Amino acid sequence: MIRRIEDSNPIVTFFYFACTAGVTMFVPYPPLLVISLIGAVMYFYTVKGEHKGSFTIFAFILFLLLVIANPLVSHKGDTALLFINGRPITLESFYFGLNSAVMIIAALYWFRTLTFVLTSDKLIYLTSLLSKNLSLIISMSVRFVPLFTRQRRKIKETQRAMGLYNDDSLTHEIRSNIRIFSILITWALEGGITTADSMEARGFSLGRRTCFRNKRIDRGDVGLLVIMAGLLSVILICIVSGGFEYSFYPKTRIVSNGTKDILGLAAFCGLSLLPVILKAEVSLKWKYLQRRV
Amino acid sequence: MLMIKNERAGSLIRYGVPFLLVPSLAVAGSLALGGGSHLLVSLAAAGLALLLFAVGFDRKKIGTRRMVICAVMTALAFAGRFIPFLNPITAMAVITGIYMGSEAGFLVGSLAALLSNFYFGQGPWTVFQMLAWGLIGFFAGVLSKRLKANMPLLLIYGALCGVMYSFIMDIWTVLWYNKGFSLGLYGAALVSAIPYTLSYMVSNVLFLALLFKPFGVKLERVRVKYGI
Repeated sequence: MIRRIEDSNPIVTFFYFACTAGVTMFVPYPPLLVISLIGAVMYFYTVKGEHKGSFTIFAFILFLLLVIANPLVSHKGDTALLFINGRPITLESFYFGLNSAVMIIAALYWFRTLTFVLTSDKLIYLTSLLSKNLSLIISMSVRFVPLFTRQRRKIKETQRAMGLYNDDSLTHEIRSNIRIFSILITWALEGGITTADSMEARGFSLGRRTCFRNKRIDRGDVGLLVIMAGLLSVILICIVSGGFEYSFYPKTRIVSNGTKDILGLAAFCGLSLLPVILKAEVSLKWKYLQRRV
Repeated sequence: MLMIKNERAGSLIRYGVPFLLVPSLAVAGSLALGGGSHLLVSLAAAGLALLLFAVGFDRKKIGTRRMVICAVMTALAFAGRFIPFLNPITAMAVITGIYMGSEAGFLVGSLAALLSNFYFGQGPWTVFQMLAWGLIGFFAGVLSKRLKANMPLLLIYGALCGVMYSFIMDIWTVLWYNKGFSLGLYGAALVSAIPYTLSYMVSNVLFLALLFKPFGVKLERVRVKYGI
């Protein structure tokens, strides 16, 4: 059964974002970038996540800045719009800035969605494929952060109860906080040694180790991987055989090679809208099941 | 004798491949493939260096204690990035590199970058940040004897790392935006990044000056007490 991208095996999720963000970053063909931006924004708003509104505002401001930046710095191009200090502001350079801005914003949306989707358990799964020690270190540090935060609070309360925490003035407060931090470090290092000894005592460094992997690759994952690989290979064939031609200087022009480009764009369209399509399919199925009940 | 030779050759391969071979391949690749491919090649090279390091890391026997200490330092660096305006990752990577060896320094720098970016935004720059912070920790480990003895030198190293970090990251910004290197845009990027560069420098120097002695005493104590 095919599931959504974010519920599939982490390999599928990672491969999906590598494809979309990779194509977006390395193929600056204007129509493709527009499709990518639309797909990325749609996917961004269908996943669960925090501070979506403020990210969009940030992206919009960045977009405006990036569009303005290129014409001010680069003066290549034939069509001069106006002159500032005797230097031309050209239409081509504006188009180039616009194109780069769309690319960067689209890639930012893909990566922000990846941050929402790739939770720490998935990251640990992915790194465990590379190196078991590395994934262990990552899982430990992720676990240490809330532990240390809690311990810091405890130390602070104890210091206050003992009358050693002094926040009369800024210097006193800083000194007290440094003291708390120092206690915390000693505690953390000693605790770390204890953890290590305890691991050793349970036979950590003896023999081969396996990893905890609660996700398997099933038929649905393989199906998704095949679909994505197929779409990606269509796009790659299109690039290699000279499709997606464009140039900005000296005159902006976008060449359309007929069927080849259309095929490539259609494949990328399928790729970037895949999560939304899968999601729609799942919700349709849910409605259908509800109706049967 | 053979043992030492092998070990040397081993470490030469382990460090030489990620830090020398891959960057030179990257330069050669971008020259051979011509314009427009700098971005792809630089990203691939940085990613490959990190991958090789990760794979080599698993083959090596590192003590359990050292591993847990690395995790503790990573967590502290990662948590410290939430301090507004200041950034202690460099300082933590340098301290770990000096006291626990260059490999541990690389590990702490790169992992702290990877993990903290889950809160500060992942992006293609993650790869470069991981490599930059990792290398800062790595070279601190290589220079550990001199840096440990000489406090002003350490602070200069910290400030220099802040500047270099900013310079390297801006090369990447320009490559990404412009699909090729442009000196004008690079200058603009450097100028617009001055507040960040200053903040990196100040926080590196500040955190190294504040933390190096107490951390050093504690790490040294743990090392002597438990024989890591």
